[in-house]
Amino acid sequence: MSIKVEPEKCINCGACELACSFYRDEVFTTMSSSIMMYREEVRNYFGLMLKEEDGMIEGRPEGAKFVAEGEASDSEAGASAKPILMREPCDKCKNALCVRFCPTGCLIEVD
Amino acid sequence: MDYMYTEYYLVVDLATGEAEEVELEEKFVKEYVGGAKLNLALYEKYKDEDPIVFGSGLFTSTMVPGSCLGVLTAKSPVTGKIAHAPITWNAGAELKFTGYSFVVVKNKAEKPTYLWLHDEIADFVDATALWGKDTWQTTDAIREEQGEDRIQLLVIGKAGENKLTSAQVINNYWGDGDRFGFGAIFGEKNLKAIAMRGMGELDVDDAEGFLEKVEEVFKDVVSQVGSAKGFDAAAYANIPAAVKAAAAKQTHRVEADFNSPLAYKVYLKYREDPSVMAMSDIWNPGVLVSDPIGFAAIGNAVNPEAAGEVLEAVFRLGLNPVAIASKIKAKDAKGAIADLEKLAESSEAEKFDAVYSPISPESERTEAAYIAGICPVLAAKAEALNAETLAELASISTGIDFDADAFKM
Repeated sequence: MSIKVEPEKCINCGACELACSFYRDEVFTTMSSSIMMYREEVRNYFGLMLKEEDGMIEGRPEGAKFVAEGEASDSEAGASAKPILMREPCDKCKNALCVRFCPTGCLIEVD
Repeated sequence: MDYMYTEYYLVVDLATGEAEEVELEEKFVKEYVGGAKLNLALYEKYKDEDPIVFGSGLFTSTMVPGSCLGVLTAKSPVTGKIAHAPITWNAGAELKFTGYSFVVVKNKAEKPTYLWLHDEIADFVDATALWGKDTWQTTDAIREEQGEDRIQLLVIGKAGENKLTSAQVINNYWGDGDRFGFGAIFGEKNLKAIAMRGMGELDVDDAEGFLEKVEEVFKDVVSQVGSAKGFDAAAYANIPAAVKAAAAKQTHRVEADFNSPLAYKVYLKYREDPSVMAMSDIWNPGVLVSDPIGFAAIGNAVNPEAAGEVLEAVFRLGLNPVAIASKIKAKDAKGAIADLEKLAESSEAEKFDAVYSPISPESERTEAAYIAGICPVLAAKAEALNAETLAELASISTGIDFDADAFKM
């Protein structure tokens, strides 16, 4: 199982951050999630990052891209998402809360 | 308070530069629940010291759909009565994550100041260099000074500094629900901004029971919202057809408030091709129509294709678009912006009718939303967010027995 990201559907609500954090710690926070939103607010450039074991998926407005660990990201999104490297990677849980609470289908569980 | 809220609320005295943590007692939450209702109780408690209260609702920052709402409560310089301004987007959620579910700001600072709330710390920061800057410059400067681009701000521009009743408290870069001249209160207090960022977390009593119920509510809300988005999700604003048609050519993407499925906010790009999704080289390519009613007012006053750019100027100056739209004489963007700059410098008190925005607490459901910390635009659309359901969720999540009447003022 893994999570597929379709960032063009993202409305930047952050429900996935809350849901993943709740799955991990049964509290409300955005800080313990394997997913992190980013936003260059005044330019309206937004999306999400998903931390994985060997790198991360950058869900940028232009599309999703896997960036392997140690590989430099070429995007502003990567730069603003540095703190995600400190997060726990996605444990690929089944019936994931991040997918269940995403209102737009931006996150999809795939086999 | 053990569940859903932080342990403390904060009482700030701008005159002395002191901040006091006060325990948020369970019995207080049981009686006043939160949001506008609890804000009002705090306002009454500190009313002799000229307070303005920014507070969260019981569900703000949690997984309950639409949990974005913060509420500003004070005596309106427009009406002379207590008013509650709904603040959407991310500021309410960020407040709770700072470790303070409510902040009471008393008295007046000697010199321009901004309040910096972060991880159970309240700093009074000299804002002399920010006085005179517009809201966009101020937001950028504070985020840079504190080194965090997710800082959420309530901020004023020139109109607030000049204590105009037509001033509005701006939410980062964007206008929001202050139709009551609270921007003038910030100006009177020498308070340039309240800046917030926190890594806090909130506990829930019955986590398993809460998850089961909130997922049921989430599914109902998503179904009731349906496919409505953008201006179609903000029909209440009555945006003129010609303005909508012009905006359609400038539309970049639609967005939602914190943890809300309703993407009723529309970003317009008028300084570059709106179809460009990559990071722009232009730092200010457009504006977020965060306030559809304000956009309608501006759209009625100027040429439709100029409405976005003029709305940007309204937000930067910290004006209330509904209060000043009829004062704009020019129809083109350049002329209208020049008119606005004069209006923001005016010492003349503007006369206008203060009305709730975006959705007034006129119905039981939106009244409940102002108390619960739910976006009232979403609550108006989603029957699932009724007072009975909120009471059930409140009881599960706190262990306190709430009924639907708790979600009435």
